[in-house]
Amino acid sequence: MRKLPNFRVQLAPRHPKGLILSNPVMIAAGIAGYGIEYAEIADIQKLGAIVCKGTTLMPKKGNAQPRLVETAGGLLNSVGLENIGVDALIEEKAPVWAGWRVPVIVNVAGETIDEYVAVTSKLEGVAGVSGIELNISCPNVSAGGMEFGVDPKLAARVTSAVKAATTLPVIVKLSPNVTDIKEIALAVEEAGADAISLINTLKGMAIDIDQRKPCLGNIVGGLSGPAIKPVALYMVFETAKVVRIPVIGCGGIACAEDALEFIMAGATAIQIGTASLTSPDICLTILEGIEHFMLDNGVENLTDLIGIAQHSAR
Amino acid sequence: MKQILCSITSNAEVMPGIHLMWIEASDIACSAQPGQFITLRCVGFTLRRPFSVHQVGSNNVIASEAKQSHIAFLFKVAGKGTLWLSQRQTGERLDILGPLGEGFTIEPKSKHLLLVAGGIGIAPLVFLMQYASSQHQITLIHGASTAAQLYPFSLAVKKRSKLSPLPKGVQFIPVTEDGSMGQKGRATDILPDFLNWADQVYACGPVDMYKAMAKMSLRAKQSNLKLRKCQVSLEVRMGCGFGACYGCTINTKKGLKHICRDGPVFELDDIIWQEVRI
Repeated sequence: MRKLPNFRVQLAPRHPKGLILSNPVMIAAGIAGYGIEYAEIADIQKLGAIVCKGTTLMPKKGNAQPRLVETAGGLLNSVGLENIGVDALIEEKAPVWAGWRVPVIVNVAGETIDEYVAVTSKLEGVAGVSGIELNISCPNVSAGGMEFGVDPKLAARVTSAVKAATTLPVIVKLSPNVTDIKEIALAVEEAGADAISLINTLKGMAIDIDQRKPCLGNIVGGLSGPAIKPVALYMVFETAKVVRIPVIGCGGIACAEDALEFIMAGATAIQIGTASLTSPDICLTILEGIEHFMLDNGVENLTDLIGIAQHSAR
Repeated sequence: MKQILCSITSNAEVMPGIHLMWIEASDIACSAQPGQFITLRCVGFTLRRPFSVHQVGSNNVIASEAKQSHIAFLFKVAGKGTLWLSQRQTGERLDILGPLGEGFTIEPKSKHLLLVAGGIGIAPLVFLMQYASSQHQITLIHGASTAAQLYPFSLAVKKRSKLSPLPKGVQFIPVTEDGSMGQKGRATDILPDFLNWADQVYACGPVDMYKAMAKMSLRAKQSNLKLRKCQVSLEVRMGCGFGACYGCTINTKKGLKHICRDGPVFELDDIIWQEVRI
């Protein structure tokens, strides 16, 4: 009988408590709400982790309709961080998560460093919250969000401030809308980030030629989906080369083969976003696909595949 | 709510540019309520497409007694996704998620139901009519640009097609913009004539129709007419279809609502129509 592959990955090796996932497949922030809605459709307890909606100090209304427009091989969204706010999250959602096997990571967003710190502080000691993902890369808000993700100094400052405010592992989610993502990655690593996730969406737009105006109510949105996969893969490959902390790969992953590409490029785990809109149970299909690949190729530990494409590229 | 692969049992163009598709989907057929919807995956496209449940039936024939095993949806070929869908053949399988959302509700005391359909908006109202006609008196006002775009209830009887026949006792009032059938004009033009008769109003159609009804509702409050208890079905581009992604949020008088989960059916008076840009 063949031995079942070992999927376990450590997302926060330099954190005192660590953050071990049973497998590398995570649901990306934004797509899955608070995970509770998805639990009605798919057995999400089997996943490595769930990242909940970008969460701010106060509830946020988000942007005007239309918020979604389909593009070739992708999707533009301008949801604009609509969320229930951290207090409601702690009261209504965390108690549900506390009973789950799958760890939930809270994506934290803010307009100022103080807001990031305030949200993070409130999450300290809350049962059901296993980690923080710092969102310094949302392209859909007028203040904060991405501006922290495009300046290495600001990125470092918000990272160290948040690290100082929590005992939870901190993942920093990076924006692809930068000249050199490696520079930002190194800055947040230096500032104490336990892991980084990349990429958030690429800024983009679409125009309705019949109405002669932008398709999105917010004019600009974030592009996701298969269209951005090669961009994301390259950024993961480049970043994994220079940082020592784990890299979580995200951007257009729609099948197990895509996920394996990111893992071989250097990702310790991967996040699925837009593909779960196309098919709500895709995360589980991807997990099974990775398992089949490992069995078929005699790979016992997933860690043996992480960054393997880096070696041949040297 | 389930994600399932369903076989297509028929697909026909029943009006110019409008298709009626039946699929085998027992779980959905048994549990769907009028006004609820399904989403389906169009292969090669990122977003699933939402469609109102148009009819439920058994074995392709509308049957009230037998166990419901099939559902139908009615769709207009409006873009690349619906073009792909229109080309699917009997026996092919579709990835379906449903039933989704909150449908129409009928109050226990209501006897007279007024249904107002604008164009393809007839789709969910046929299901409501099938569901409610044995217990309620129904008037259906169906507006369309021209006669060919009106739901061909008469063909359902003549050809034993899979279209819905008009349930017994339903008063059908066609209205066409070109006057080719029924009164010339729009559905909302003759709506006031029925307001004092109706205990509840149900509408599905373009946003402009709802906006006209909302104005009427305001006026009705000042006069003796009562356009009250009016439910409308809204549609915007949806992401997940079950309330997780917040792609379809609108602001209402009762706060932010997600059309896919809190709706698609809302009270007309709860929507802030001047803000609606969908």
